[in-house]
Amino acid sequence: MASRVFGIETEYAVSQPDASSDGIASEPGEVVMQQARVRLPHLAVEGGAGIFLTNASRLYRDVGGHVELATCEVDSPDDLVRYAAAGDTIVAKLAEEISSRRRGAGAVVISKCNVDYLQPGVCWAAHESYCHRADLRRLPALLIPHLVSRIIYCGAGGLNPPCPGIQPTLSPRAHIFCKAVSNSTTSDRGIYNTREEPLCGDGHQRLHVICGDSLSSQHALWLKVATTAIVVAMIEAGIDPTGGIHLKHPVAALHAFALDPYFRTKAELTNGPPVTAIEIQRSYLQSAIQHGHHPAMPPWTEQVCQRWAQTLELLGQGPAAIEGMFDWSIKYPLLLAHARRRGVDPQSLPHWNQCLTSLRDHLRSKAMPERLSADLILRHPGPLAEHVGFLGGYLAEHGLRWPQVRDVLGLRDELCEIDMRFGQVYPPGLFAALEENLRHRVVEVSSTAGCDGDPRTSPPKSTRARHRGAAVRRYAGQGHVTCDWDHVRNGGRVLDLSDPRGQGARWKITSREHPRTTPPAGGPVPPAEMLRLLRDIFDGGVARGDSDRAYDLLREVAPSAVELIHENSPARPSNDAEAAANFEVLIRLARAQSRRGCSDEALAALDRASRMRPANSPGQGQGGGIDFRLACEYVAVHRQRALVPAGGELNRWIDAADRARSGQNIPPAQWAAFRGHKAYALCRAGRHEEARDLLMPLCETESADIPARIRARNLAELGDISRALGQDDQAVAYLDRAERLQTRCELFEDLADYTLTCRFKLAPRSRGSALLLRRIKQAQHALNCRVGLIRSLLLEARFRPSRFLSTRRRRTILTLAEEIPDLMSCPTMTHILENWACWQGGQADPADPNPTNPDPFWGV
Amino acid sequence: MEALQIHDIARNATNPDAPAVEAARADLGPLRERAGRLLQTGLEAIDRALSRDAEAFLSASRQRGGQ
Repeated sequence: MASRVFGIETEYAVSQPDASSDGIASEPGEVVMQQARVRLPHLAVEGGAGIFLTNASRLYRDVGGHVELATCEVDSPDDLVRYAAAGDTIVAKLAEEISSRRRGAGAVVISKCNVDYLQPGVCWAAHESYCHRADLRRLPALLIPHLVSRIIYCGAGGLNPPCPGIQPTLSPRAHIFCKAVSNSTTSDRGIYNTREEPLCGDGHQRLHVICGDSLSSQHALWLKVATTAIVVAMIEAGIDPTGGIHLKHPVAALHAFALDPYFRTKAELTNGPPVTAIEIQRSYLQSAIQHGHHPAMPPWTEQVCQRWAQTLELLGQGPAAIEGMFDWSIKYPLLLAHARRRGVDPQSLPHWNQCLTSLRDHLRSKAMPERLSADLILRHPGPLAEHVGFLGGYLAEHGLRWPQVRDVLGLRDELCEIDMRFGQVYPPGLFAALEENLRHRVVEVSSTAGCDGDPRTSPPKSTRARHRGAAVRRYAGQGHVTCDWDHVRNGGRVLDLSDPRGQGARWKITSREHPRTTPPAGGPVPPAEMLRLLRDIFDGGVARGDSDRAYDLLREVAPSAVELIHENSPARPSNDAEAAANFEVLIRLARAQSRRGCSDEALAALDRASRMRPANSPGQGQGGGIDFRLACEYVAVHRQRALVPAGGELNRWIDAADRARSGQNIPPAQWAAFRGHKAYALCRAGRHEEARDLLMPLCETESADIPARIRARNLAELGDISRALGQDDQAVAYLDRAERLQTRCELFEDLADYTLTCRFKLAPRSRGSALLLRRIKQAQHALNCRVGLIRSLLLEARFRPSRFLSTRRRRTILTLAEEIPDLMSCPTMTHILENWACWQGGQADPADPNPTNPDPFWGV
Repeated sequence: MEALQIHDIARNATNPDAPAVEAARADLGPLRERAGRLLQTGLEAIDRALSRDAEAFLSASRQRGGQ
């Protein structure tokens, strides 16, 4: 028997219906991810969004801001159900923690739902992935009839979204599919999705199924993945599992099957008489039974056939036989019963649907907004008055009157809410309230049968997920270790997970073999490739705070250029291209070393770079002097030097940059970065208004020419300047914008070091500041931002004093600082440690020249 | 009738090693009683769960991406 590897992705709707403006978080999806980063051991996704957890699943924010969880790879439907349930529990727990912290205001609501009823065509996805080696040309025709007909047991139930009235359906997402085959997942969706993104190697493909619903019933989810995995296994084995069924109009069949809870609807075939959905499913089942012992079939085939057959039998006996078993069969009677008690007879719904569809089409023909409201319909005179009058006769024939439309449309909104509340995972929704009375359980979700422990925290015993989970557990908190579906990267070592079953997984000390970071084997890296690596890998890594990894990368790909700073003789590159590449390496080396607290090395790199600047490079200073770009790099290093930069050197280089820019055409990004540094220096000199005037024009507009990292830093800087000017409301607004940008672009080091630290300074003794400081420290610890972490520990000692912790805190700070050259030579650091009692006691700086208005932060 | 057809699929499979599949028949009497209880519980849960303004809830929960 062969193993089959698969998994699912679930998009969760996240909202904060009663959100308060506490200034800490802006988008509910961000709030959940921030909580996850703080609470869950994890590794960051390499080059992408989100984190991998210790159970090897991936949690991230998707386009649109919602939270999405992709389960780890499993090889049995039992495990799939367990890990999907574990995902729900993880997300619910995060929401619970956020909500309990906020005590009502800003509580988070998280739902597993399918469609956005206010935006027909927009939905939350529940994608499935199946690893396979089948012939891609055969897959669509042999799989589509199964995908079309399986909704009779794995539809989520709800309402038909495009219908302006009330039309219950087995599968709300079925109605947003308009093609049989397509590559798109957001519009013009196809029942068969052709996305080619294997996320594994060795000839494996990944079938990406996007036409399924998000489910709460274990029975429905188990059958959905188990039957589909078996169908894919048969196709891979060269078997035709359809039993000769070829749908003539698959999309029409999907829509029609979805609207028939009695399964009487027949779909036309290209090669025979019409068939029902149950008949199509029986045909696939028959093939599975016939080939159940084929070597390509998984070991649980017999169990699946048993449950599949019993399910089809029960479906054939009518809705009562499957009550409480599947999502749609639980939801459907509830929707109709709720309609009845609101005074709307379900028998009247087709008539209302006909009239409301006619009105909607009328609006559409006049290019007016299509959303129907009772006020719009009943307005007289109004844009619909004539049409409404015309349809009134039809309604009257069925004992209905237009004034009742208010009840019908009000009911529609309530039914949509019921659908969204059904799969709510926090607070627990309708499905959870009903669970004791349902017949949906097929596995014990807390069972550890298929994994090495609790599925919420441990990976399965099989598939490559077990290696990934172990790596996350081992390296969590080490910012330089990153993860992806097919590998884990630790500096120059890569754990190869290209086989989805996890066979052959081992650490390799050859990151150069990896396609994304790989300089060609053998010999030095060509200059053009070096520049690409710096741009693609280094800049992305260091921007996200991964300075250690960025430094490692430089030493790997450009060892000779890195060594240049230790040589005394001038560099003699063999050509201009090599000189340009070496120059860029030295600039990056300075940036990485500066963030790592090694400013002397950073300055040495810049000194070396200034001596080997390519002669014809843009921005070269007049008369061979220092150019603007290099001067800016010096400014950046001096600004970030230790706890508080030495004003003299910083100002000297700012003046040099100002002189160098004279007459030069400076790129907007460099100019914006420089203004941020200059504003900081002005602020340090007490010239806050000048600093504000320098930055404000930049922050009022959003230029695509300025990278998000620089824009966000300047916003944070302006927030701090506003704070210094006593304009706290403006400060919060700027810091909010900076935080949103940094979170969206995953610039977590800057978020902690700049924005959140500035936010802390707004109210360092408030009740929320302890929580904020904890969040800052955790981020700095996770990213190994050592200088920032020590700054946070110092601020904690000053503003959250503790007699009990005093000695221990001082010792911790000293121990950490010993590893950082910049801090060991930092006068402010020495000054604080020598005056520890004053610092911790909240007293003014003994050396402050202005004791009547002391700086509570002593410049830190 | 349909139940027998399913059962026959397994019994008449041409492959002698085909997996055994047992027939399933629901006893609809108790199921209908159970369904009535489920409906009542469900409606009570709906009363507890529904917000005062369904449209506002739907607006607050909008999807800004869209897969």
